[in-house]
Amino acid sequence: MSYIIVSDATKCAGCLSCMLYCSFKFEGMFKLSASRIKVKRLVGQPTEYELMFTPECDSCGLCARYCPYEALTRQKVVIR
Amino acid sequence: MEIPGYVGNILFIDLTYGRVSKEPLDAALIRTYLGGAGINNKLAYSLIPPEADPLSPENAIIIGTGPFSGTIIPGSSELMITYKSPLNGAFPYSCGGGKFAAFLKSSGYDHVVITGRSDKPVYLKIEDENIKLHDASDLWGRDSFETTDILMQRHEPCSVIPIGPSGENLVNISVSHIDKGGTVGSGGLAAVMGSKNLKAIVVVMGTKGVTVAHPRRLRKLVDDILSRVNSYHRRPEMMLGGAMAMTSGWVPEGGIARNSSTLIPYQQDAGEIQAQIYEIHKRSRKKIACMTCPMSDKDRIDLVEHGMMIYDTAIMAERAIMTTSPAFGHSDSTSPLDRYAEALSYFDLANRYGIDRIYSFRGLADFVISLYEDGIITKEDTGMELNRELSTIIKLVKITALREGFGDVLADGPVKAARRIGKNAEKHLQNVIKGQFVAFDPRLSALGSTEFAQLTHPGRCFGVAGALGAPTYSLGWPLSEYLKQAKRCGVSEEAMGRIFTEGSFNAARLAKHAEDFFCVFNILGQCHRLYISRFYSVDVLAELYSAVTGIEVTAADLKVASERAWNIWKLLNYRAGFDRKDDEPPEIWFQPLKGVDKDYVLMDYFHNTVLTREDVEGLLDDYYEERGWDKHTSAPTPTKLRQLGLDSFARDVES
Repeated sequence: MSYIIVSDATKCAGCLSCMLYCSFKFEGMFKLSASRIKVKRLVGQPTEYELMFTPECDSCGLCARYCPYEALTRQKVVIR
Repeated sequence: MEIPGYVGNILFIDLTYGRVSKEPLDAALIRTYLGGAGINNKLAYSLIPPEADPLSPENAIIIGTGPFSGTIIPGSSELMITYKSPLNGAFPYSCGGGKFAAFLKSSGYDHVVITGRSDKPVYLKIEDENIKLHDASDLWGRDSFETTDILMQRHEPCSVIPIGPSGENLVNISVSHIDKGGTVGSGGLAAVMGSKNLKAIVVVMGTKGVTVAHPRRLRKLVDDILSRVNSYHRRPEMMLGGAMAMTSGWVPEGGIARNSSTLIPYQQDAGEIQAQIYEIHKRSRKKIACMTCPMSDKDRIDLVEHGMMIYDTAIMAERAIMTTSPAFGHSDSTSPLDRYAEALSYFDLANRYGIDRIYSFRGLADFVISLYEDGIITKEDTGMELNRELSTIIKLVKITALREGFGDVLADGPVKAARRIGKNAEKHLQNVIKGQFVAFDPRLSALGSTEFAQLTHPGRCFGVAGALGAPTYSLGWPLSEYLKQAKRCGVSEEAMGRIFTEGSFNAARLAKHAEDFFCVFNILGQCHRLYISRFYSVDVLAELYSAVTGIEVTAADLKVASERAWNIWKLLNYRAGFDRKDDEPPEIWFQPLKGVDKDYVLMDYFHNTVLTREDVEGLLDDYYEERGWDKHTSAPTPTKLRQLGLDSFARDVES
């Protein structure tokens, strides 16, 4: 079974919990710069974000599990 | 030795010489004071001379994170800033959220100490080992939010503490912001930054990490907290309305006091209008969360109909005042949408100029308007007509921030302004403690622990004893609820016996324990707002601290560390001249507050007894006794300080 992380940046409140959990999993410490999900503020707009994943992301879904605002969800990939 | 939860460094910036240095965060300092307000206070005691002019290079700005900052603990975003306040010469209690604390630790610093004065406008940028003072001449004169926007574009991903024109003009009632979300430093932090020619502090997301001693244990504890957050019955509404969800149709009891003497009632349909405004607010709101916060109490409000995009927070009581009371900011508009837009315009203006509208400006404006209405001052004194109209209030904000005309008088803050006005104005300044207006008039609510703590807070008139008695949240609680809350706050059985007697409670003794509870949050870097702190007990905080740092502590250990921080806070202020006389209740508390239908008088929490000055003096004695402080001077006793392991401070007091 494959999964993907679906993002809805309009729901993001900018708490960065996803980045902390992600780095915790891969680095064993809270290291924002090492996170495989990047919450980027849009230029000139401190409360609008872009949610991006680095190529190393394995879609484990930890970020989605701990997103308090449902900006990230983990969904099954259905192949028809 | 490296201790998990800490990144291990204090950064020192001397603006006079442009010097930057780094010192290791001493393990003994960590074990004694833990972090945040604890370490900040200790540093302030060593670094800021008690007699320092707050606007001189001698004053320091001490920024502190805690061991929880930068971790996944929900609400671990609190930043503490310590400095000597130009408003009252005390050391206040400044905290704020946003991303600053987490980003500072990601750059490798637990604390930052800024001293001296730059000879030209600069902003400080912290990015790992790359610490720079940048020319800020292009930013000088720009408002707080504009400055934040520019710096975010230059240095993203980053967090910004800017100042607006009020800080540049050394306005004593100025305030700073963090990331356009919340305020920090209502005792004039912005003016202290302005006096140092420091336009902003920028911290860039760095490359360092925060380690924890017991990751699995921490995850389990956090999962448990989050499951309680998710099942909190008010959370769904908070997701829609933010902090305003707590008071959606709320109209405060009685009305708004005119110079603390007579209540001006709200308009008849105030409750209905508030409910309509709440609906407008919900549909216009974009959530803003501080780092790791699952409650997102901060707002961006897009009033599409008015083409407005406003950032604000803490607009609960103020919203009711600005939209439905003739006492402050009155306008002829009738539609709730227009009234809300007008209120937001005022909030935005004050935020951009960097005026502390909540704790200082509204009271000060009401004071001078009352003087004008009573004919004590005239247009000759003020240069303008004073009334309660929105247009007048907006003009007053501007001239105060720019120190123009009569605004130069207001900019000094209530006590100094009254002195400058002369004409016996000081006599009419009636509801002030330590140079600041009383935030919660106990005649309107009752003398609970929050109202009482306004007297005894070492450096300002605004207690933090909310968990056990914030009037907006807990008025009318039964005693059983207080007993339950006291347990959560780690009050010992022995202390319970002193606090809870004869079917009631002693507000002063309770205040001491509520302060200790909140101070635990302030030393750990944890938010203490009601809708976050409700998920924590001292026991849970002790478990979290042990999991993060590997230093096993109990709830009692945390309370001792908290008491250390509070006692040093008191000493900082005592040394700066604040003693029992500054904790005395204002005389106006013992006079009736005249309402339309009834007079409000000072009563105990359960409204059983009218309180006299002697009663409140007795409560002050009780408070000092509970704290182990001298009843005559309010100073911490050497015995108490030694009990807390603060021997060197005890020797200072003895000498």
